[in-house]
Amino acid sequence: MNESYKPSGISFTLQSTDYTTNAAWSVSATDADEIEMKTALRKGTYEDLNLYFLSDLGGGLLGFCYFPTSLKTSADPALTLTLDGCINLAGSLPGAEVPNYNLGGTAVHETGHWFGLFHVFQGSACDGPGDYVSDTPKQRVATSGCPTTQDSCPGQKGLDSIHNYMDYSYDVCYEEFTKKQGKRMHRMYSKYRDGK
Amino acid sequence: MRFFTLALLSPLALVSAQVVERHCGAPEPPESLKAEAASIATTIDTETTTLDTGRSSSAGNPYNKINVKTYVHIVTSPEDTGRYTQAMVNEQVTQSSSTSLTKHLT
Repeated sequence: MNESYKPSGISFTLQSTDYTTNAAWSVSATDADEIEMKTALRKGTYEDLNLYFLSDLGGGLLGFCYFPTSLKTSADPALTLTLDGCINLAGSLPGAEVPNYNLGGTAVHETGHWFGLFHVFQGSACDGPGDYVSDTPKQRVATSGCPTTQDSCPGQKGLDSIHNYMDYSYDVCYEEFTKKQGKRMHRMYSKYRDGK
Repeated sequence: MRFFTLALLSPLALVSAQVVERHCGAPEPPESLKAEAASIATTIDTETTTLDTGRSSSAGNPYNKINVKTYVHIVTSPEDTGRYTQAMVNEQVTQSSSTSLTKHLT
């Protein structure tokens, strides 16, 4: 993550790692399981990142994460804080067992959401605001695998962001956040998380 | 029949069979966050930043470097206990770029 986020001026310092064996929390957890797990395990404040790596998320999911929000205006600030963080498939860790997705790209992608980034194919359309980042070209579809090139909006400027961390490409295909995605992350972090 | 048995016994086989392409379960961004994203996009597109000009950052600069304290929780089934190591976690947090890992693995 540090190498992936370094060009954006963001770094991560590992504070601790804990290991828990729990069948209910780790395999296709329900909402209640998730709350119970995070109530027990979550650490730090809203400006701190909690990364969970679970055995099986169900449905072939590799990960999911919570967008930043205003704690003050949240309907339930305590629950918002408890749930905050990213859940990733443990098999996506570097060197683990999931083919094509075991270089650590999943946690990098999910953490992008934690910083307030959307998918580069947000909206699944060639018009409209897309991901609200002006240096990522319009993209109508998620990328699968690692194609040489892709242009899902041929009438629009630029090619699909197949190497962007906020696409759905294979880990080996991931290379970058754009400059304005980096700025967006800083702005979102400053507004929603810094000092919270 | 043998394959069926292996699939039942091997969590690795199950995972490999299930994840054939990336699926991220992040929810649809709420309208309030989209509005903030639109506002930020306008700001970014019109500003001349210290990053653009290469000047050093100053107090209040939204682009000061961010360091995020990170807590990792490995939560596994009994069958997976011990499978995911501290070395993997360290690689995830400290490195984890596709380029560096590709170099490392090849």
